[in-house]
Amino acid sequence: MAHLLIVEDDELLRDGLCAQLLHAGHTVCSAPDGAQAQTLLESTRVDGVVLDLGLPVVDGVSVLRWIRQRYTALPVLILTARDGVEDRVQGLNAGADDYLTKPFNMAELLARLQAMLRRARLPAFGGSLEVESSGAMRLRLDPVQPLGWLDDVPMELTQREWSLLSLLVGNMGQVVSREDVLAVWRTQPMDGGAGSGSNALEVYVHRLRRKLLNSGLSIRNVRGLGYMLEPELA
Amino acid sequence: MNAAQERGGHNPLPGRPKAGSPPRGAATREAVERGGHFSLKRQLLVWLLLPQLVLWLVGGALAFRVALTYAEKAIDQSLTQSVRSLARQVKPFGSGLLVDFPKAAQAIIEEDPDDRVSYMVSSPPGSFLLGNGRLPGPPQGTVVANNEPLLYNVVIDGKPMRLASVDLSFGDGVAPQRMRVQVAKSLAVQQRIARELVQDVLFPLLLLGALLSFLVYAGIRRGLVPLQRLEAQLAHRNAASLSPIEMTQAPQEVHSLVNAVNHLLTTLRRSLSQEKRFLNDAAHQLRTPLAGLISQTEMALQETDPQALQQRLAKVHTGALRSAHLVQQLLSLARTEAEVTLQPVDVAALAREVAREWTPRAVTAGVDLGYEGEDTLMVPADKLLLREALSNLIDNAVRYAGRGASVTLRARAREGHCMLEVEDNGPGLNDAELAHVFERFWRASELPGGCGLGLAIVAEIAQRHGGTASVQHTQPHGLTVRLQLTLE
Repeated sequence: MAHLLIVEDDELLRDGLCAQLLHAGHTVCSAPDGAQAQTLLESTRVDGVVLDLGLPVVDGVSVLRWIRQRYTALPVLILTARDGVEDRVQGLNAGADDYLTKPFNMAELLARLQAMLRRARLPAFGGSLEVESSGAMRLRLDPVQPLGWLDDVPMELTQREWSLLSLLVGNMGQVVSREDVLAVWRTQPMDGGAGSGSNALEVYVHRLRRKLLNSGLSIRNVRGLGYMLEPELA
Repeated sequence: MNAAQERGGHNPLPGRPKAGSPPRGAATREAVERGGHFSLKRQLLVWLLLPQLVLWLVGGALAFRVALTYAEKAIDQSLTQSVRSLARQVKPFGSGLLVDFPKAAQAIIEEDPDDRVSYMVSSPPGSFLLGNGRLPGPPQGTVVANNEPLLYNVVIDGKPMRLASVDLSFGDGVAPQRMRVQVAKSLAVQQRIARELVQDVLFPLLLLGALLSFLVYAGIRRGLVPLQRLEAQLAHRNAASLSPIEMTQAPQEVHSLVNAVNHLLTTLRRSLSQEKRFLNDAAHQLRTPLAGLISQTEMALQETDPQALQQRLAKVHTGALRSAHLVQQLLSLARTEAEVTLQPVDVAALAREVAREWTPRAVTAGVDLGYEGEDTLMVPADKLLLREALSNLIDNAVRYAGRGASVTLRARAREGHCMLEVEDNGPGLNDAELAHVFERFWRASELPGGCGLGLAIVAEIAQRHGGTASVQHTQPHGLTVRLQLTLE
């Protein structure tokens, strides 16, 4: 699915990460320190980087800054063993797209990587937004226009349905809050029908649910927290 | 050189540098010595004695001046009297003058050799007629009134003199005549008075000054004794003893100092004992799962049957997960023991944020996680710690409520308090178990993954915020953990 670079000095963890990512269908290359990571990045095109912050030779934050200067859009997920806020903030400030604290759950790393790679294919990067999960249809959304396809069959989407679905697809498996949806809607023109409040959101979710019927994907209502797109349980 | 050296690093006394300290220490020593110059005793002495000295000097000078003025007045008075009585003895006689100056009176005037008195009668004024010396007239430009004594200073033969002069008219209207009578007295008498004054007043004043200085010095010494006792008490304790300093008889100021030091010692003792407790807990809790992991991997390495190997590996994996969770929990427990900084935090937003992060795991665990309550609720809190507490509460509920249960997170304001609740409708705990939930390493069930620290951390965090953590049954079944924080 994607070509990833793993930069991690602990051999056991590097080995484990590579094996798991290969198993998940990605292709990987790896480096044990910052300098080798830079050399690799200069010669190879990768879709994403998993970067440890505590690296020998050239430390992780420096590598991250270096990456940001050359490959602005390259998604980077940082791993850190220190969990003080300062470290996270430092990493995110230096340009990381996401972070995980060691030790982490491999399923969570995979989910975060997927989300990160999906976001990287957002309009600004000229890709399309899509989700594919086993037992479900492939859902693909046009990044600019209110167009969508379920297994290449065009869906009928209004502007608002499309932007709501884009948010859900971009955060597949994570909760999208009502506030986030309403904030996006406020930047867009009205497209008739139900107003723009919280009730309107329920109406739109209801419509989307009908359109996703039998697609293998469903929108979960998380009490008081928001909505989450997930593969339907068999 | 002395005890200070033997006691080594425990008590770097000012002005007593340790032998053989590295060059870096030199700067510190210098600073200590410079600090040593600022002695409280010296400051007190200087500020008590200097003003006294000034007072004495000014007072002495003033007294001297006043005494001189009075002496001058006394001389002037006696001179005026003398010149008047002498004038009375000079009587006009026809066109001449008759001086009736008895020998006895003359003797009295001229008696004292030190305090020499000179007199002169002249007529017309200035032309010598009678006397025992020539005396100069009044300074140029002085208006001389008739029969009115005039007093002025002159220098005769290099000696300062005070002089009284009176002019008189005599004769008839046809031939008016004037005469001048003058009496002068040496100013030596005034200087003698000054000398006596120096002896009679200044000397006792000096003695008194010395006595006062001694008293001030002794008083300061006595006053500073409690400080020295405090220093000695502190110097003689070793680093391990953090018991409060006992000072029953000490002035108020030293009491405040002792109280401040005792407060510091108490805080230090608390954090040290917590650290010790943490280390003991951690050592035990970390070694056990590692030992388990090692034994499982050793057996796995000898295993040949693939199915048995698979089972061993599954156990290793569970053990590793547990160790990871434990390390995470121990670290966050250690963090709660550091100082907290309280800043306004929207706990309602924070609660929703943490709940959103937990939703995927709750969904996987088959738990319906939700939020109810305020949209925003500002509370002074340490955001990182509070996030940890909420995370632990949700983790606990999701873990133990079981598949199919509901877990509800609530943030509400009630009666000046902020209530953060995590309610589940799982199996719950019985009353006996409820009493133990906040104890470290206490576990209600042997469900894998837990380490018995979650709620202990929550209680610790509540305490660090000046709040409380409590548990109660949920009706009809389940557990509700409540974190109560003050809104102000």
